[in-house]
Parts: sequence; C-alpha cells; structure tokens
Amino acid sequence: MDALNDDGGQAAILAVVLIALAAVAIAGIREADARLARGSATRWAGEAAVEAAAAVVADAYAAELRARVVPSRSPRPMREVVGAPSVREQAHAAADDLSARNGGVASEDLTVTCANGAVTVAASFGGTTYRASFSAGECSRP
Amino acid sequence: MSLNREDGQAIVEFALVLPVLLAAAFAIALVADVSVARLALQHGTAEAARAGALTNDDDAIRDTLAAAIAPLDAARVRTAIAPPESEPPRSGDPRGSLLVVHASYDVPLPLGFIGIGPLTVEASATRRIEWTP
Repeated sequence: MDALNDDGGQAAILAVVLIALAAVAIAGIREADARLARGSATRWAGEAAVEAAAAVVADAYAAELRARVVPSRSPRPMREVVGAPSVREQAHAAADDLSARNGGVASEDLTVTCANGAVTVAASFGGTTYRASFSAGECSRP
Repeated sequence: MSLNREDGQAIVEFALVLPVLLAAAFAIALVADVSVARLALQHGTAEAARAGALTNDDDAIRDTLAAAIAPLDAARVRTAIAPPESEPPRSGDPRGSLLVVHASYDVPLPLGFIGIGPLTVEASATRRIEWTP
C-alpha cells in the first residue's frame, strides 16, 4: 500500500500530464493551421484561376472588336465569340494551370456568359464557384 | 531527521515542473507564431501577385506585399519577383505571361544561445499578367 500513500513522484506525474496537454494543444494548433492554410490557398488559387480564364476570354473579345474594323468582314455575334469551344478550352487550360501553380485543384466546370453588358466567367474548384467579369457593351444587345 | 521532513515539498516539485511548463508554453506560442506568419505571407504574396498582374510594377508589388502581411514586420520580409521587371517578357508586352511573387520571413526564436536559429516561413503566388503597355 506504500505506492498509494507515498507522496513521492507527484512532480513526475504532473510533468507527464503537462507534456501530454502541450502535445495535444500543439497538434490542435497545427491541424487548425493546416486547414486554414489549405482553405486560403484554395481560395487564392480559385481566384487567380478564374481571373486568368477571364483574361483569355477578354483577349478573344478584344480580338473580335479589332477584327470588325475590317469593312469586308461581317461581325460575328459576340456570344458566339466568347462562347466558342476553342476559347473555352483555352480559358479552361489557363484556369487549371494557374490553379495548379497556386496549389489548387483542377476546375470542375467553366462557363462563359455574355449578357447584361458584361462577360462573366465562372469556374468551380473543390465545390466553390469563383466568378470574374468585365464590361462588354456587345453583350448588352438582345 | 531533516531528510524525512516533507516541508517545502510543493516548492521543490513546482521547481521541477516549471521548466516543463515553460517549454510547453513556449512551444505552443512558437507553433502559433509560425502559423500566423505562414497565413500572413500566403495572403501577402497573393495580394502582391494580383497587384503585379494589374500594374506590372515591382514597386507596387512590394508596397502591396508590405501592406498585406500585417502583423509581420515588412522590413524583415525577403521578396523575389520573377521574371524581373527589366527583363522580357515584362519589359515588353507581358500580357498573358506569368508573374511569380515569392516571400520568406524568419520567425525569431530566442534560442540563439544554444545554436538554434530562426524558423524560415515561405510562400509564393503566381498570376497571369493582365497589364498591357
């Protein structure tokens, strides 16, 4: 019964308990930090990706406006221009490239809409949809 | 016999446990410091790269980074921007090319007396340059 009544070794037990508590606290902080960092990286990657995609679409939009200066050329409807499969593929590739470079995931889908005086590009990454848009007078026509 | 007396036992045990307690508190504070630095750098580089994509200006990139990394000390942040502003494609028409902003920060450790240096935290962000000359 000496082991139960003896006061010796209390400091050692306390030290072990404290070390265990500290280990749990550190593990918790690290896990929370990793989760926050992942969320932050995914968000920034998504934003960079969708802006890159919108820039590709904007380039196509601007190229069409420049091409319309040629009098012999009949203008293409802008909805067709910005929604063309080749433009969407380039935008998709740019979005995936930027997402990967920033530690994000590949986009699940990418849509380009030309309406209400603006071109809007929307892309989903990890279940979250990011949008980027630019003013486009050609998209205000019915 | 003075060896059998229990007077002062609590003080002795407290003295034994105190270093462990301090080390644990220090470790928790350090992990939190590193976490804050990493998140701040991540945020700062992302904002700076975005500014660079819109302006193609290294000064704007550094200013944005310095403003976005609070609560870190901007003077202690090392920044690398690639490609440099003075080299192609950024010196010409860089629209569509990539801009990378990398930053590192030394989280100070008060353990220099035992040869343990600061912990270096790094972050980088890439953007497609949208600026046109």
